[in-house]
Amino acid sequence: MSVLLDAHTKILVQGITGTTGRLFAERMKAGGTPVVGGVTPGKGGAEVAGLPVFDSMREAVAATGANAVLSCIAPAFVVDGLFEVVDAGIALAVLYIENIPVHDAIRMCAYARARGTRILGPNSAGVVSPGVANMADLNDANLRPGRIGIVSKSGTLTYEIIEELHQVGLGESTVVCLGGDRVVGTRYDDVLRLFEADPDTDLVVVIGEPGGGLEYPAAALAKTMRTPVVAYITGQGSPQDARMGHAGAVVGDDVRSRPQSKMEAFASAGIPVAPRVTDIGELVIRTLASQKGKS
Amino acid sequence: MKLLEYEGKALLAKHGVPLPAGAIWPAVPEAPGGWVVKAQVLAGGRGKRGGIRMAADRGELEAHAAALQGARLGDEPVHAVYVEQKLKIAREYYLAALVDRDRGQVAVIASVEGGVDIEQVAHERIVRVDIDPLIGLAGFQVQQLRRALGLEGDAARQFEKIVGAVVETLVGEDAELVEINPLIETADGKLVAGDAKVLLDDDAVARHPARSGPVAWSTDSAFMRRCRELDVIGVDNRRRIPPPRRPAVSILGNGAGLTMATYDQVTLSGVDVAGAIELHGALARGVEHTADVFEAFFLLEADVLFVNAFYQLRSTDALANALVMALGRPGAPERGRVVCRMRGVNQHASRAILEQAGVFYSPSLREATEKVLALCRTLGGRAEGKR
Repeated sequence: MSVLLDAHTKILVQGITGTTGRLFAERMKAGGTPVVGGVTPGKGGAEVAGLPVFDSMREAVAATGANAVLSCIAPAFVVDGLFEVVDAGIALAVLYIENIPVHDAIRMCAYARARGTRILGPNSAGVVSPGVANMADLNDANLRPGRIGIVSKSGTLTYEIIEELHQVGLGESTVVCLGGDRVVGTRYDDVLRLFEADPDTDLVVVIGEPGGGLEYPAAALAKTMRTPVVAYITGQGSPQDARMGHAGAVVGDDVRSRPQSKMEAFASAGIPVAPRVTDIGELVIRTLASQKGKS
Repeated sequence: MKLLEYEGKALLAKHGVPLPAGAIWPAVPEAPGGWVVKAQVLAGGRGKRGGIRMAADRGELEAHAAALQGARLGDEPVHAVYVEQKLKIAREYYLAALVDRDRGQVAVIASVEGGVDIEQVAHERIVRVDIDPLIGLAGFQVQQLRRALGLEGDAARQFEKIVGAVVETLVGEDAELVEINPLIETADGKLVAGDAKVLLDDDAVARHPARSGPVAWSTDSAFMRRCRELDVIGVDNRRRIPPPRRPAVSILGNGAGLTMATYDQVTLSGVDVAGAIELHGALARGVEHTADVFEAFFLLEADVLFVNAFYQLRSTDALANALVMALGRPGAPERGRVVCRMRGVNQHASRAILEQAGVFYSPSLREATEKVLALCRTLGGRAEGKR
């Protein structure tokens, strides 16, 4: 029915008493997302949106059985905060914050990898499975449960893809945002493996962008998958040496990190590639139809 | 951000990497064996373009420095002239530490072939070690690098220190790349950094308050400077070669992905983009601030202005109000050349605000793109008609 989130998901908001944390907690609660509490050191015993606030992650996990964290804490505390999340044995952490120094991201991701915590981000818009849980900055009103998976670095671009899907009458199983930073905790191929194992996802849309090369293992894996994949790589027309908001989306001299090279990698793996974001809806419909023809 | 050679070298020196004696012209270092006069540019390959010149005496030094000062190397402005002592070179190596973003680790790369583009060096002549962030650079890895370069004795001891210092520079200075190419072994057996290419992490600026902005910023356009002041991301294509063809479009979007996708919508239809702004959370700072961002957007002087904002939890009426406010200020473009696509909570309010102000609005990206391209066709026709 979804990946990363399911009926056992129990979410804590780290930094729940801050402005962003409070907004997320209130919205998740109102939308029926299984949020069970929050953590703010020094505010233990308080309540936000009717949810208990704890002083530490370990305390919160012991009291609530939480296994997922949406981190909304101030930049200065992010690294230590993530270490605490990992130390408490949390399975899934979303780091919403952006502009984290890359060497901090390297340390966070390394510790999480070593201890078995999956990180989305930094600079991730989160993850949402409509009707299951919403750990993202997406509005429940703009989502529709369905059978298409989306994995993207960008958050705003998933808004556009979701709209494209809705226009052709489809909905989403899970939307996963990896984050726009240079070093992030989860790769495209990690998520594709999860979608491949999900009986309720019929097709996956991969949204790539300039910079780095995480799209290549995704293209190689997509070639071997039973679940069809379509791809769109953004940034084809934008200057390759300019930072457009994502720290990660800068190309420099490396040919492999160019959108055109990534599009070729998907195309030569037999994966349909949409030239423009507004071509995706139609491409998904065509790909689903040709799959039906095969089976 | 890229640093100039001498800026990068200052960081290396701070962490104990030995350098040739050097100074920024008109200062001149002591050098009994003559000088190397080096143009400080941000692009590579300056040697081939006459950016590195030898001077045997003071007269030659002054002639070279005067020729390079304030000049251009190809398209690149020369930001300063750096004068170094000339060395007697025995061998040249390559050494770099960098962030491998896909692996989420730091890697150190070395080669016996220095002084050439590392991309051109055969794979088997390059050695690489990946540093586990939880352990740091390990002694055996330093030895692996040293052996690959065939260094022994005193040179080996110098090299071991330099490798440690380069990794320390990368992590301590929050850099994404620290490259020494060449790492020079002098005739008298000293290892020194012949050149330095340092790329700093833009997101770690706050951690280094003593650092001044890179010299290269001084040549930025008024638009780019204003974007930096307003804390939004700006892209200015007007000085690129070739420059954007007219009629050109400027783009204002929220979020990197959506801004890049909007860019694709325009360029894939054969229309050039003069520049762009990614709002980067500006809307949260109020209508007045956002109006200032629009005013900066107008500095791109594009023929058609394409605003594409998609919010999930935020209402776009503040964005619409900010645009209308900015359009009322002196120097604003004609309203008929502005195309808005805005989505958000209560987007009908923004539609009403914009249409009342005479600005095109559509909730659909497809429709808004078509409008932008149609305006460009009309303007293009008009431009041709004048000729």
